[in-house]
Amino acid sequence: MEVFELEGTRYTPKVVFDLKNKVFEISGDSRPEDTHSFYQVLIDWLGKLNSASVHGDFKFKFAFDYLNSSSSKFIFKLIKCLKDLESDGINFSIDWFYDEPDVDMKELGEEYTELADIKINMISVEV
Amino acid sequence: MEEFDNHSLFNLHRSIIKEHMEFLYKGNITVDVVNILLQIVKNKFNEFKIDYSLQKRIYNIAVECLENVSDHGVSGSDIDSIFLIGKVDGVFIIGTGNIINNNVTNSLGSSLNKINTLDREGLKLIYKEKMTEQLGSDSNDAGLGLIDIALKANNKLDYQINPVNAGQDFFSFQVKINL
Repeated sequence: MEVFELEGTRYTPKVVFDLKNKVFEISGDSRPEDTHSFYQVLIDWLGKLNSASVHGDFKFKFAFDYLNSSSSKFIFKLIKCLKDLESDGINFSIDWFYDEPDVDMKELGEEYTELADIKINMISVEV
Repeated sequence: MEEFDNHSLFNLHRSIIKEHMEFLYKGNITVDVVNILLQIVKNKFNEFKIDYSLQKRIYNIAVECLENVSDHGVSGSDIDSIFLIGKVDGVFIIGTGNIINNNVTNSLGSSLNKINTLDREGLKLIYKEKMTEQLGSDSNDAGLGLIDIALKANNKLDYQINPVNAGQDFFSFQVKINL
């Protein structure tokens, strides 16, 4: 399970989970037809990580252009999964990218920080 | 069935102009149709020179409205849904109309009435509560869509429910976004 990759589509985000380079990324548009099926695969993959098999500090980048409300629920589940991994000793530095004028995307990242009680770096991108 | 003549076409055209409708679709709102309609929404952004942050909000609202119809509307040949884009006096309007089974009418109405009583802070609070409540659920329907629409529109949600037959109602929904 070194690398897990999904190409982005008009409705689903690009996904790169790269254990070797310790870089994780979900980016693009997210409004899958079946949100649960799409994100459960990612949550299950992350759920298999444990401190006995992986070591070091990992980077997790979220860079959504758009996500629907159903996706926001499953992203929260995924972030909670990262929080559980953190408790197990696997540290993720989480970056939440948003377009500078997109206040709603920024607020969503802040809500995740509060709800999951996890540090998320908010990074604005000039458009 | 009454025949459709040129005079009714004229009347329809007059009504569309009078009601400030910029785009009107009637038909089944399937996943494929949603994509086409979203592209039309995007085209209107250029036409009306809408700024970037509002574009994102309107697009977001349009997705949630259309997904509500495609996920919850009752489709069928004689009971098509409608989708409209309107613009009047600095207000952008997204409207949908679809058939719902009337066993969901009360819960839908009370959800919307509750949302309409809340201010921005209240909406944010129930959004977060819902998100936490939903952690154990695998359902694609997060129950967040209408709250999200209200937050992004920053206006009360207009709706009306009219009976069409013994088991079904027509749900009309309008979201207004100040430009």
